[in-house]
Amino acid sequence: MIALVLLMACRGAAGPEGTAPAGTDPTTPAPITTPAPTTTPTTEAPQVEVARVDDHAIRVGLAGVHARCDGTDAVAAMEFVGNPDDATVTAYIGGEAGDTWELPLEAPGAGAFQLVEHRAALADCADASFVWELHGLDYHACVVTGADALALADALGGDCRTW
Amino acid sequence: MLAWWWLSVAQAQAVGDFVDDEAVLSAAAVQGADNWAPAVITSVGSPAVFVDPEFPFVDLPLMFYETQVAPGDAACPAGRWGIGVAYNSVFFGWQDAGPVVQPTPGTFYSCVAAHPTVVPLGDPVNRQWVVYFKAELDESSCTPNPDFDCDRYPGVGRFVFQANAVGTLTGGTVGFYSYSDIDDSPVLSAVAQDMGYPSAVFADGQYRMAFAQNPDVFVTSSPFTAFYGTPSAPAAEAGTAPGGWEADELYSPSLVCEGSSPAVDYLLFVGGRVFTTFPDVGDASLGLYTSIDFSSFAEDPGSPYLSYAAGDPELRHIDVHTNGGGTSHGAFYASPNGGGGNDIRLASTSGFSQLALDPKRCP
Repeated sequence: MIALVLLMACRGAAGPEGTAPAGTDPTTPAPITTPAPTTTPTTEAPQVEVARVDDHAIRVGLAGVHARCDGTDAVAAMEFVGNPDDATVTAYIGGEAGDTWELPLEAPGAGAFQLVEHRAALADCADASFVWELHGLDYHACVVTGADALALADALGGDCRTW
Repeated sequence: MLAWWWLSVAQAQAVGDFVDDEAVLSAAAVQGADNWAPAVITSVGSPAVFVDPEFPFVDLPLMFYETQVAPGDAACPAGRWGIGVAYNSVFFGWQDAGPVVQPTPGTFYSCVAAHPTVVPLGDPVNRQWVVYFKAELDESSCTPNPDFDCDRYPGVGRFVFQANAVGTLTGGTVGFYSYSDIDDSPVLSAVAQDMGYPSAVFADGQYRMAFAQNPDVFVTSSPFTAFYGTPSAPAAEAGTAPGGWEADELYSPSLVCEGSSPAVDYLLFVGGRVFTTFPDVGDASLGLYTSIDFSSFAEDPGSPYLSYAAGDPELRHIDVHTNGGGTSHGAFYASPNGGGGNDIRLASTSGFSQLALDPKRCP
């Protein structure tokens, strides 16, 4: 407990130059199943270990969104990492929700970064705002873009926010 | 643990006077950690600092750095370089955690992975980052392939770095971070020649990147971590500032964003050099350009903020950060260590703390 108090007290103070190492294998990335020593944050200074993992071990995360209009079509593109359960985008015109489109979850030849898109007819595309959602295990992102993004994010509430 | 920057409204704040205050990470400390053996580490540079805002009990500062792992030869004239990661352990200062990217035969970084820059991938509380780095390959052993050109400077690599919750991947390690394979294809491949020092932030819905292409500095944007456009004109041109602090070269840009959409301010800190006779450096300075639209940049009248000729250390690679949404600024930088390589130091304005870094994200 004393160490924890000291740790908290040190927030805001610059640390001295370090000398002690934290060991990792410099040439062979550790597999994801390699166990590492247990540390207890309340009794020790932070310790860090790093290891390369397979792309499928990267957690779900929303990386980017973009919608463009192509004539009377909307082309909605989303970039994410990890293996989400589903990805959707909903077009809003004048604050009213339109169709919700399911985005494909696998991009051809993708590595850790996956960029997927969906094209659909949207008559008033230029006036649309978009609500993007990405779901995964213990993960949910809700992002609002477009002309009415701020007001729409406020109206939707929850964890929806501008990007 | 939530930083107030996320809720702040945009208001550019004046940048104070920088004072060179402290050593951060030395080549000797990294060599002493012995994570790079058999390589002998004599240089660490190009700091790319970031913060894990969800680390238990502290906002943990981490840093990618570059280091040379083998000398130059015919295949790799600039030597072989890799990227490691270090962290600020609060009690004991900066600690090396070892290599993350090593030069690898058959890849577009067969000679060099250097000049890292890091930006949050989505919401910082998700504890994921995208890391970019400058690459260089051995043309003589490069096999034509669909992923990258066999040019010595093939572009900028990228990968995902993430924190893992206790117990998900290891037997309870608190500070366990993992990273993906490097993506097969580099980004910004069209501006690779003489290009370096990428620096990224996420602001107003887009990844914003600055980079140097000798002797000027350029900026580009993308809503995704790839597909950056090729800028047609520099954001800042060397030899145009009235003070002449960047007469011969602008280098090592470092982007900072302040505020929130739709009123984001962009601060483009950048090194400026004057050579006595190339490559002898007569002056190396820290200057600043600002923009409200990431398109038009103007020199800040306070430039330069640091100057080698005026007695400050020589700045080689620069990575600037804010505290409190811009109330104070800190410039991590590499500087000659007297042994032929670089060490990493910090110059900062009044009140800056390494332990209170803002994420480089302005949604």
